[in-house]
Amino acid sequence: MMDNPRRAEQIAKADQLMRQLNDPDWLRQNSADEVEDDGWVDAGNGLQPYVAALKRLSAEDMRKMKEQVRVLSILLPVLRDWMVSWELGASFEAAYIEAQTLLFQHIQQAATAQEGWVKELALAYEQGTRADYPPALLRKRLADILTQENWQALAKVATQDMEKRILQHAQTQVELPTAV
Amino acid sequence: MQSPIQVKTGSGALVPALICTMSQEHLLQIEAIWQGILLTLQEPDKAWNWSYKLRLATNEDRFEAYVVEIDGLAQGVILIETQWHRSQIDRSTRPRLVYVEYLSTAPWNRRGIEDSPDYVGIGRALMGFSRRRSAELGYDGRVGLHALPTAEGFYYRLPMPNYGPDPEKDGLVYFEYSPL
Repeated sequence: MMDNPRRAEQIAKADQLMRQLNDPDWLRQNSADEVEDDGWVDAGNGLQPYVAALKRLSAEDMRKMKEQVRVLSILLPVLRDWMVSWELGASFEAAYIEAQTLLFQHIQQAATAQEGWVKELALAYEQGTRADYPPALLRKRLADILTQENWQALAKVATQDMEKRILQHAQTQVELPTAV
Repeated sequence: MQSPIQVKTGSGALVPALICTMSQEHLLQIEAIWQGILLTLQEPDKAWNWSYKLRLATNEDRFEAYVVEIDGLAQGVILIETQWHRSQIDRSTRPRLVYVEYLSTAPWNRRGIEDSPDYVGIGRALMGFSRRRSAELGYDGRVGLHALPTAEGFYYRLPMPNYGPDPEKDGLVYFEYSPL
């Protein structure tokens, strides 16, 4: 690839661009606020109905969604680390996706029911006091949120994924070396 | 493929983020959270269609999808097509380019009626990444897209050269980066 000097130069220029996006000094001098302004950056004709629908959301809808996402932002990294410790191997991803879905459903329900812990965590996110909630405490919160049915569902997803992985090898055509 | 970047929070702090290949987990987040908010509206169906193409990205070589991830959550997504599209500017040789099928940021990264985006710089980072990918593919950094009307200002400010409304894309303005 790099035997083409022009291409190497273009990649170097593009690399420089990416390095700038990770350079605090450059980022402060070239604030994205001026470029992105209101954050509406969408491209692609297929997105038109989605963006039009977002525009119709009320301020209250957006406030609720932001609250839920902030809680999720605090809980997701803890959930991931916790599940990594379960040593699920290749079935981790399937189980983690299921756990995320369940967690998000619980957060939505809790927010609708105006349960205190949702507001509490959302506030910690906004005020930058997330450190007041150590992983052990948040793991306890997660354990309280997930119901017995949820745990069963997670175990089932992981088991089914593992089963699928094993059974797909039953169809493998193995070519044996021919005798000389 | 991963690229570390930093983005600005609504309060002005820089936080680490990652541009990475879209996973099933990210796709779930886009479908459940980004689009889930539209369930509060009465007619969300049409607005859901765009994630269908994101699913294609996981099965077809000509599509690639990347997200900006912070705290385990997808904050922005770009879907690019790398084989079929050609420059609309250089009409003599019609060189290949990276075409942005979709670029979108999470609903909470947009200025709402009364609040500011959670993260700023997601769109700019994804566009920088698309240029990097174009250079890698040997397309000289050429990138083309059709901007939604609400986002034209963003592409003007990047700045990305524009070539006027495209009648074949419902009159959306076509933008194209020339070679690096």
